[in-house]
Amino acid sequence: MDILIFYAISTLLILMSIAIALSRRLMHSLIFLFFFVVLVSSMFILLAFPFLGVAELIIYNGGIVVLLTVAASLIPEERLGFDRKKILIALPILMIALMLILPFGQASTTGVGQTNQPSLGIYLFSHYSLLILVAAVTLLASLMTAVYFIRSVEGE
Amino acid sequence: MIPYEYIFYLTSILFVIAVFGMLMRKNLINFVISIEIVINAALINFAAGSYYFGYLNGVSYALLILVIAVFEAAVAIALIIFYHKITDNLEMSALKEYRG
Amino acid sequence: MMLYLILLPMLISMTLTAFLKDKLVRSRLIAVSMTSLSLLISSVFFYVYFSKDLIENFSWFNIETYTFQISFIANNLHLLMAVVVSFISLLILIFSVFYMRREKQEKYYFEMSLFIFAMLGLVVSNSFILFYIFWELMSISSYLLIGFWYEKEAASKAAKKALILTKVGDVSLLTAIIILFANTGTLSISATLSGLSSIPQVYLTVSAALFIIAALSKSAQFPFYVWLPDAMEAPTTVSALLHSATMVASGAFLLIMIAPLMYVSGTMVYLVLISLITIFISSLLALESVDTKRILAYSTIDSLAFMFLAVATLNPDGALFYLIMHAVFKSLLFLLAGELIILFGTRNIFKLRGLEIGKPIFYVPAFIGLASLAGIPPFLGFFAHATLSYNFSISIELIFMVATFLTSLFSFRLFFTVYHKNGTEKIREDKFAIIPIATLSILSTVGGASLFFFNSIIPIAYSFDLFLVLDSIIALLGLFAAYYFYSNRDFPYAKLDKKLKSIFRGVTYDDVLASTGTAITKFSGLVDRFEGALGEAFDSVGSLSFSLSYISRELQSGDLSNYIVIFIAGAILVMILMLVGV
Repeated sequence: MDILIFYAISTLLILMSIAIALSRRLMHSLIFLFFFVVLVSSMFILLAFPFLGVAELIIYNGGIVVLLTVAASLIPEERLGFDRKKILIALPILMIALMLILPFGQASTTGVGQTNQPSLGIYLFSHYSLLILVAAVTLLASLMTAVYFIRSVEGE
Repeated sequence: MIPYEYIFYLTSILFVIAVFGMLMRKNLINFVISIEIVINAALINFAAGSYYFGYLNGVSYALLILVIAVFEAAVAIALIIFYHKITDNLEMSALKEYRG
Repeated sequence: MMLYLILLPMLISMTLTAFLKDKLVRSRLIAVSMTSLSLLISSVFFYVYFSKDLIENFSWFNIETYTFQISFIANNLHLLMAVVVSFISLLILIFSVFYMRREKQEKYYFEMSLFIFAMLGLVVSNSFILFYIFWELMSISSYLLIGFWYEKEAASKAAKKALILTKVGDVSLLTAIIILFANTGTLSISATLSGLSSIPQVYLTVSAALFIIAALSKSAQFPFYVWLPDAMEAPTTVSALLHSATMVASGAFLLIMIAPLMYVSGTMVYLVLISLITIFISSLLALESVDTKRILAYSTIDSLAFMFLAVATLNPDGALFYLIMHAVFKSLLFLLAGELIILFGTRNIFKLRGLEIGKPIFYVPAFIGLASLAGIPPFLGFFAHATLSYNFSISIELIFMVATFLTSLFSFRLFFTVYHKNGTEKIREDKFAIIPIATLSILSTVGGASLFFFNSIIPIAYSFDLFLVLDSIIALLGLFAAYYFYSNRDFPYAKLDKKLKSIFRGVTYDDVLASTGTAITKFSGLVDRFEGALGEAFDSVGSLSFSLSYISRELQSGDLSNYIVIFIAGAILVMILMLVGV
């Protein structure tokens, strides 16, 4: 049963990403990104991490995609194209070929299933406290950077 | 349940499609969107790793990466807005005139 | 005990001349005083450690279990060389007070101090790595000194040529040192020489061949001799110190020092061959040069070839004696040439002839020096030839006699062309110039007697046999032939021409001279092409780096889209490396 849901979600994910890569209008890409993030969140719920799924929805969809949409509204509507050299398609093709033959160290494992979900918070703050601190400080710094940039743009 | 290889194939395909998007589009916002796709693919990978080995390390990394992605996107968009103010379009090819 | 004290004065001199301006303290005062201090210290050490063999080690650093040591050796051989080097350097520095009056003092004395420091370090060092370091230091100071007047393009080109050609020797020296180190596990020269039996024969031969190549390139033998005539762009005192007495002798000193290694390896027959070729090339080229310093440069190559010949015939002590005596009379000759240049302003022997120099103060030392070079008794060269030729076989003796004739011919060609019978010029002498020349002339005259008690310093064998007598007669023959040919140049070959015509009935001297001249010109053409090819090889290395930089410059274009491509390509490369298993 899980496998079917996984196939469905993964097919939609791949379709959405192709749509993002190939769409000609910026707004369409953003819509597809939104749906992509919803699908990723559902994948997290499938993998039994509801906290991560909800966090992704709030942070990504509510933050980043909105920000990108605001930025994209600066551009007048036009059809975008692909204007690089066509030979560069070889690079992604080479990459996928390599990645699909990267050897796997151990045999195919089946999942453990449920992890101890309620202890995620305790685990995070006891083992990764320093990283959280660093991330918080960096977040503050980037906040100030962004504000500074925008103010210098507007302040003229 | 779901064998780990499936998830790895999924994420690698997503990654490669995003790389295609990075290479072939000339708009800066498309570039940032492709980077977001890459980050999401990595998130799926981390979560799957945590799912399969029963340790909570993967999820912790995933949460922290999420936070990092936020502020990286914030700074990038600030720079894009700044850039738009100067050049009035969002093309990558104009960036090379600002080197040095 | 503290053998590094020999080096310390020169180190002080280097630092002081580098940092003190000439107006504050005279650089020449520093250099001369420090060199005399060095001479004093090395003489004291020589006296104290006479006939003792002392090795002194300082630990430098260690890599795992092997400790690199700075080790000095106090041996008769090494300390004698130190005394000789400091003595000659002192005399030449005194002369350069007169010679370099109008040049940049600090630069000159700094570079000379650097050179003397390197040479002294070379002769007392017992560790191969230390020897190599001082060898390279000598190359660098030679480059700096040859290019002293670097505004002249010829001087900077000559400096580059010297550096590049001696670099070949440096590389082979390093390779030989590494081969020996890999086989014996020690870098100390004395330990290597006493442990020769433990090295396989093939490595002995290879390292001996590489040592010989290093010595050949440093001492300007065939095929590396092309840098020495061009190095005459240097000031004459530099030529006197570096390119006659000490630096080019360091190649011969290397072979003398590791003589036991050379003799076990069986490469000596090739060295004989190379020395003989060099003798003939240099003598013939000297016969057709018109520049005083160039003739002296070719005579240096000639004398060095004699030294190599002595080493090759299993006579290293004879080579050492000849080396020391050669330092004396060759530096005398160079100092005289320098005096002529300063006082009369030209190097061309025919122009000097036109100036009609004839005062005894000029030509007596020149005669003494050139007679020593040629080997005429009772001057220094005669005794030096006595010990040089101790081990010569009959065939080598015959060839050596021809070589002596040629040597004497070109030396006295120089003498009779430059100095005229009737001197008509009036030039005042400078006391700084007189002292070194007078000292060296006196040494050249009476120094031959030192042969007889040299035996107590270094066991030396000499014989005054028939060959030596014949040799000196041939040298005198060369003198008279040169007198005959070159003295009255107004009617150059008339007499000889008639005589030859009567003997050969048809072949004139002009024909003989013309064919010899053509042969020499063709040969020099080959040499020139060798130099040209060498230059082009180095040019192409330079242009290769240019084209590589053009390619790699495009990588940093500032274009974000290009950067992305390179980034992705790099990621693919990393994945490939992961797959391969790095």
